[in-house]
Amino acid sequence: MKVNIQELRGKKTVTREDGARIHEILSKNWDEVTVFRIDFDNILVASVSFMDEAFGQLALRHSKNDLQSKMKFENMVDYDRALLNDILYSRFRQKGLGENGPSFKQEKAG
Amino acid sequence: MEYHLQYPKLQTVAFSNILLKLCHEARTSETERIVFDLSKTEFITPFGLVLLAGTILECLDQRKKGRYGRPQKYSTRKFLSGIGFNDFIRVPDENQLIQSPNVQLKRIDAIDYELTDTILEVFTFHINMSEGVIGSLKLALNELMTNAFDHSESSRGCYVCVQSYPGAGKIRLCIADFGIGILESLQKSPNFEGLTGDNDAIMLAVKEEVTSRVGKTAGYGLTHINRFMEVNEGKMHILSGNGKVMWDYSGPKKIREKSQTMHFSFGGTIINLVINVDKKGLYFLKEEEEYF
Repeated sequence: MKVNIQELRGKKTVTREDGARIHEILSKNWDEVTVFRIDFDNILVASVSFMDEAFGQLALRHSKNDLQSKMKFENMVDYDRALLNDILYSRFRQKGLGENGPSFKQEKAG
Repeated sequence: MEYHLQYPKLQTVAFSNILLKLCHEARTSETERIVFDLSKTEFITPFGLVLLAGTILECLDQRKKGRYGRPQKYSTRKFLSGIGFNDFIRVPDENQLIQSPNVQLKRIDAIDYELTDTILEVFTFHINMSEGVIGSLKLALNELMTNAFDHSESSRGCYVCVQSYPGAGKIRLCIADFGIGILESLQKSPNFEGLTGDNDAIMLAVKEEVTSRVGKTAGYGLTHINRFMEVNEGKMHILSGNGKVMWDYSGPKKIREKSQTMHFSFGGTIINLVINVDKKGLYFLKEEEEYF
């Protein structure tokens, strides 16, 4: 399934609400879709709110392997890629600390 | 009867005690007519501009009448005219234009991401910045605006000003809201009900996963901005209530945090950044972990 950020937002910038829309699309189709291809069209998003809302929350519910196998980020500028990785790292760490359910490590071990 | 406010020669974050005192006096004065006397003012940074513009508009909203004493110094008058300050407070303009028009002074009533793009377009046209600095500048503008509207409960929006100093290789960015402030905002969350100090609240707000958004995942905006300032060797000041905290990553000393108690409380939040345009902007992953 292809998710095009630019088509969804229809404007130059992306917001937390846009992130929520993307999160909704991903969550709704998570079990049915094998791979989500998320196309950033080389736009600079630079929004913690968007990245966290769209993808960060997925890290609280799914494992690192699940995320890596299900999501492919295309045409993403380096800055946004670093930001995304950073947010995911923080969310996995948060889950590991047990603030939002069982940790990723616990899930893997189980 | 007029209440006379004499503004100092320098309106910068270093003079925040004086400027907050003037702001406090203007907002609490029962006198109907306030004189904002800038005759001695020679230099104003975005911090001074947003505080002054916000204070004047607060007074006008309180149905007070304002009178403006323009700066004696020609270059200061030219500067204020050029950045649209005169239009902003509706005083006769001298129609001056600033040669490098990379300055914005705006009052916004809702998150305006278009404004972020406009500011970035203007800045990238005039200043050679790395992708990291451009990205981090955009991130800072987006997150600070989001914070102002998510948490401040300000009924009058927020004030934004960004200015470049090509000679010094710096950009100064300031956002202010006249809302409830960080402490009161955090106290609304059950996690922080016991929090009492403004400086403690400010320092907590830059920590990861700290948010007043009950039941929401958030709390990364200020953390990322702070980390960007660190790699950029810049400075960040946050003022809220009676608190003022500075993170200074410039120079050999690299002061991490320095807090100060203000003599006069500012009912709202001001965030001031000093960014180096020629230094790094892209922060690195904490553990070099990469997922994508």
